[in-house]
Amino acid sequence: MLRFLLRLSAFFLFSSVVYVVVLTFLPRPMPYRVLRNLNVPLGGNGHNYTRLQEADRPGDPEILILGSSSAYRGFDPRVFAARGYRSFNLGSSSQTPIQSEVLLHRYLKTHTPRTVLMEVAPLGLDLSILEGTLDLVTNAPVDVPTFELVVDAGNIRAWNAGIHALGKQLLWGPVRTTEMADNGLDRYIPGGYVERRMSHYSPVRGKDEPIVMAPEQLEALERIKATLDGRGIQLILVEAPVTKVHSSTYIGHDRYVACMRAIAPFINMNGVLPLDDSLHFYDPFHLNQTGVEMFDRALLDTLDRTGQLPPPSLRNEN
Amino acid sequence: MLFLSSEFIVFFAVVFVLYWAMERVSATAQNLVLLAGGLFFYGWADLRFLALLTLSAATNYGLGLAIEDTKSEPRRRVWFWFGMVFNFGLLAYFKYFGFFYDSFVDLLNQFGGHSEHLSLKIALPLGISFFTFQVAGYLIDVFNGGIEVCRKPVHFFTYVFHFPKLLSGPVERAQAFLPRLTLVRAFDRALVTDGARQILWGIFAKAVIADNLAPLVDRVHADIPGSGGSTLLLAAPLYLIQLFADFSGYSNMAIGTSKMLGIPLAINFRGPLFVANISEFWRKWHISLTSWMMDYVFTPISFLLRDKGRVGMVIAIFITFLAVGIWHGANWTFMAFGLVQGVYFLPLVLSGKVNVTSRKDRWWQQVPAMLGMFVLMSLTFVLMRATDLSAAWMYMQGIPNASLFETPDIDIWTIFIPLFVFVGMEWYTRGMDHALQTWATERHWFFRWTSYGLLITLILLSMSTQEAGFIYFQF
Repeated sequence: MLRFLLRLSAFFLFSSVVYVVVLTFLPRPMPYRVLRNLNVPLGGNGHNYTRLQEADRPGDPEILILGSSSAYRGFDPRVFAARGYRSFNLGSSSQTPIQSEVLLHRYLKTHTPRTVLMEVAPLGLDLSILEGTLDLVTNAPVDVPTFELVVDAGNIRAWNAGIHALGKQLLWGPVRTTEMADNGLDRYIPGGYVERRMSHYSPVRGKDEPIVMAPEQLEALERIKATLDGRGIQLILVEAPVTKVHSSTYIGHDRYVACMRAIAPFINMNGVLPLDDSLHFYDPFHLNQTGVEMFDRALLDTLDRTGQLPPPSLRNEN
Repeated sequence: MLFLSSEFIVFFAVVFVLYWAMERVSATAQNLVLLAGGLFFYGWADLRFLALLTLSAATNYGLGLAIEDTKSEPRRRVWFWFGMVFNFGLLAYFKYFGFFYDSFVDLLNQFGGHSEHLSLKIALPLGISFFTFQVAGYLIDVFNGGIEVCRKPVHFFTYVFHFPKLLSGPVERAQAFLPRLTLVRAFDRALVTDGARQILWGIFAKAVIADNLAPLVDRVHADIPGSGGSTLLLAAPLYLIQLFADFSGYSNMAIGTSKMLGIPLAINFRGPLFVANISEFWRKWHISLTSWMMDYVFTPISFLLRDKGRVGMVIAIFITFLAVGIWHGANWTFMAFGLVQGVYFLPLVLSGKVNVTSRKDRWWQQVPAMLGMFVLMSLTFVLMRATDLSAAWMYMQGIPNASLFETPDIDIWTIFIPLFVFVGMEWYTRGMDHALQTWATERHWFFRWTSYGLLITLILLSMSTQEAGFIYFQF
């Protein structure tokens, strides 16, 4: 039996090598839908490859934006620039605080923002970190913190994407590609923002959803706050607007607000603006461009009014 | 505790090591490990019914002894028929009572009655169909003198509670299983390795093929009126492949697990998708159940009706396949399925070719008949998937219309490569016990290990990440 177990162990080791070799030599990106557990296209749904490339370039934005698609589709750097602020949007699809922390640490190695606006979606604080991890691991250079995300995701799709990316990186260096800035539906705006082609939404109420706040996500938020405090950078948490029909499905929103306020200054932009579910959104979670501009201006007004923003550098230069 | 769960892997690792450590002690010690494992396995799966199955096993053990030791023939018969009524009564109560009660109420209400349906749903003990057929077969064999009665309770309980086959078979015969328990099972590396290979193929069939096809097929059956003819036509063979992959996958995992414990079980499938006639299909599909039905239903009835010639044969076949249909569950669709199989047998019975295997030497000469059988069985198995007879009828009616020539609304591209590998391997190895059996011999280890490694990689790249139960658990 012992010999069998030793042979079995040797076989699993051998199979692991086969697995890594096959993944390393599979084309990137894989043709769409051929292998269901390795089908994350470069760029993902939100031009993340282009955004991460831009983030690595030198620059001096005083406002850094983090968060999920509501961040990179909701905080338009052109509106910020119009008020005199240089900003960079480092949001990514399904980004949760656990992934924000990884991106933030990478960003702070080369940049020194003065304020971080972090979009925290009430339903983005559970432990569903798979989609966000896939997006990062496919589009960013794989390092130890990124690979830790793969391990934490605990899903075969994350492992496949992680090993696929790491194998290629070790052999041929970090991923290099050219992403279309405008794919007909979305347009990448320098500064990390993605503008959706103008459309509207017919609201439909979904089922009620309890807000789940995983301790691991809250701990990541606390660590982000501590890191930024240590560098004298201000953290402001923002709940971006969603449709009224969607926000009405939240269960436990008061607890969520209290929890966010306990961590850092928190601004809830829902119910503050006269946003219409049909006219200002293109889906339950995302504003269309008209809505984005209203939201961003109102957010900057609020921040200005409460004195939470540094003096705008562009205005000073002008 | 599904085979494809981390709990089962830990459980099996413990049983495996303990069991083979007992090789130096005694056969009884090995049996006790198996028995303890079986009780734990069933208790984990369905603790509510562990006591029921234990009581049933004890009753059957005692009945076997009573039948064997009673000298008076009438009394032996009493014990035997008590055993049959007990076993099939339990099965009937748990599996069919609600269905027949509701059907009776429907009938009464059609004649002006005002009775209400049974609101209390009776929970079905896991594996009760497989369990019942095994212990009933044992009592029949003891009564007929086909096997020696099992006097050692540990042996009998180990047979009944052997965990690899406990929930969904194969329907293992006592005469094949019990003698293995009397001797110490020595560690046979070739057998254990073959078991591991069979498990690997089972995992591929279940996790990649069946579980990926399930949502495609489910979507079509959830909206039959909204599906076009081409979609319905494509979903039918996909369901047959799904069912085959699901159940053969389960069987391969069960048989492979048992092989790793030194106890080979009955083969359940032998390339049933590639057969040229209905008789061949049932000799290769769910073999352990079909052979049980042949031995304990078809043979006695055809013997009773031996004076009636072909009419007797037709009656025996219809009763047998009706029993096969009903075995699957309490639904008119299963009965219709059984009866349709009987109808398919008619040409063979009338031409006296029931047991004839196609004699064409070259495989390509059989391809047209194989394709015909595949299409026929695909359409017939719609009855197994449909929720009721009207849904099955609606499905069939939906195929022949103008939408038959449209592109099917089923996205099979994510599953295409694994499906190609699966069907190709099943075809190539259709005479074998399992698809990886031929990989065992006459090939360099590097080639074999690379093949298995590639298969594992394909599993990891294509497996469904949604946890799904086995279809045959419901039967």
